Amino acid sequence: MPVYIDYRKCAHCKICYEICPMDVYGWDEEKEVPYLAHYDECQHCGDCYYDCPQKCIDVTYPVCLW
Amino acid sequence: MLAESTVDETIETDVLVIGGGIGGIFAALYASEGGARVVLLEKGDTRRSGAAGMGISVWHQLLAPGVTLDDVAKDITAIGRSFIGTLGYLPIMKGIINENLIYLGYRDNWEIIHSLERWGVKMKWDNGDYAFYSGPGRLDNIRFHGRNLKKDLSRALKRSAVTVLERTMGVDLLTKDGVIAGATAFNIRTGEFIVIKAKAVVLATGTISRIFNPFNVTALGRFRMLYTYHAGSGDGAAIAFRAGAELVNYEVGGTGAFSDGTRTEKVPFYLVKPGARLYDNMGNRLEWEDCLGGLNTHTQFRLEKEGRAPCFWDGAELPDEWHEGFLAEEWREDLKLHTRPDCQPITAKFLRDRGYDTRKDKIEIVHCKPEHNSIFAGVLYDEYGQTSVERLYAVGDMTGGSTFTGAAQASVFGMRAARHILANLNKLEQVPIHEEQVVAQREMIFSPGRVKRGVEPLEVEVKMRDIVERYCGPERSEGSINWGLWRLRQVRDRFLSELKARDNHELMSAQEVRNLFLMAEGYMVCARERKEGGMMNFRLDNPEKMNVPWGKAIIAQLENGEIKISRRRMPELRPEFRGK
Repeated sequence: MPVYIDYRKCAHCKICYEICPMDVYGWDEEKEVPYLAHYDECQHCGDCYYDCPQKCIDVTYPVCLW
Repeated sequence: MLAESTVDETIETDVLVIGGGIGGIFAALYASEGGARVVLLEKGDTRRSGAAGMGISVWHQLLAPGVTLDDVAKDITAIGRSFIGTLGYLPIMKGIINENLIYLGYRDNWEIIHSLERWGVKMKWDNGDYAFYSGPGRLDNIRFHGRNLKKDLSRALKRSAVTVLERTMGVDLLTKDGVIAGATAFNIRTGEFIVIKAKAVVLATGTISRIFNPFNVTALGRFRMLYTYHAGSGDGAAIAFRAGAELVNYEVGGTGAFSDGTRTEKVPFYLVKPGARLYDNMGNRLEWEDCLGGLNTHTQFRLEKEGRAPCFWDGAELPDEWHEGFLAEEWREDLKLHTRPDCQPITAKFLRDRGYDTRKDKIEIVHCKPEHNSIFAGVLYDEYGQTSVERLYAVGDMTGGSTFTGAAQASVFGMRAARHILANLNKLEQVPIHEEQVVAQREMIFSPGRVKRGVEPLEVEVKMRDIVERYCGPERSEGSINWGLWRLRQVRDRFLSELKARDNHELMSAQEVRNLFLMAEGYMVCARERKEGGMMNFRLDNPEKMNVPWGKAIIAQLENGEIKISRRRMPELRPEFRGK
């Protein structure tokens, strides 16, 4: 997976879902947390990693870039 | 789940802007401030979309007080460089670019700076002044903290009277008797199909980044950390091309060296300027060349054939302060003018995650793959951002025919296009919408949702990239391109009607693939026409024509479904612009 989400820290602000340039995230209305709707679209820009106010999301370094 | 809306929304406006990057936002804000009704479409989110989404750290094409364009060109020439973006460019380029467009990008840029500041963007440095580079070859750009430039601009946009439709993709133009009536759009969150009536349309959809496979493609065919961004599917270029607009220099891609792994231009930019070293694979020192990354693609290919590849950048000689700044994710005062963290800081994180210490580890060089980010190539535009189609404007990285691209050019021409529209708005009647076109475009967008078996858009896209790369990569010939075109069209005719979508996002992906195929075809047809070599174009069948001046630009235009080619000498700098 391109990102690792620590759901314990999620403040349900929806910023990651709203700003992802590649529409990677879906929003789970019930749990009020993001999920990876289109993980293959992730371009590893780090916008969710940097913009999440709770620092829940870590962008993992893809194997193909090694 | 597909959410096919049964209710079409219709919006009436004066100006429709497709694309919410720098160019689009400038066009929208200027048009709105001038009193026009404006609708802006952005298929991502304006806060982080486009080439500036991850942050930028330099604003180009800005003349320091007292400095003229001639000074810049002379200065660049004096230190032995020819500089893309000023008039001291390579002889091969003479006649294929409109020099006046570069001049205007410089001339009107101070106004852009003041507008940015008016809209809440801090363009001055922490010392309260504009941070011009000092020293030779550095008279025309400022460093600034542009990490959140798009967020600042998005805020200004949302405070304005512009109607902003995020997560909404522009689909195609609506016309009546050849005159633009507006466009259709698709909201990928709600599944709404929208009709927008407009008197003028500004396209600002940026770089095309998906016609080639980059290095480091994942198993799924997606990019990772592309220098530009992965959203670049040429939507605006395809919209313009389908409408009959002229493309210019479409055979030209970028040239230069990129770093393996992080795949970002930030590495070459930051290494070249302070003077890192270049080596081949046996540790022999190489000379810096005048291009992005210091190693020309042509040279790289030659070194490969001689067994001397890969080549490397080595930063061991650079001061510690440089390394600190390069590997920092956040800017700190002790980094002084090192703005690296303001621009795509994720690359710093990745370098560190990978365990790179630029003090002791060399970075492997890969060659630049052709990308249509308007180093020359794009939709042809004039001094007011007009395409060859009436009421249709194009700004920013999707345009071609001038050498400079990037935020400065996009913003200047966003402004100029808006002003031109405002000046003519009262003469433009709203043309009625042709219902049949709306129905056809809606059907095109939603049909992949009804395909039973079908193929995934990504699979077809990767096949296209493979064909383009194999038969029309940097090294090509008429024979290889002919075969490649035949294969491209074969795949297109077989699979575009079989694209399958599982949700709204994939409906968008399917449309992106259609757009990419059209632009890939345009690229290959133009590449076949260009018999001379140079920049990113190596005609193996015409070695004697390598670096011969090209003289005229290749123009491509769709006419009754066929791509027609012509050649045109582009305008030189007008006398009244000289010496300024």
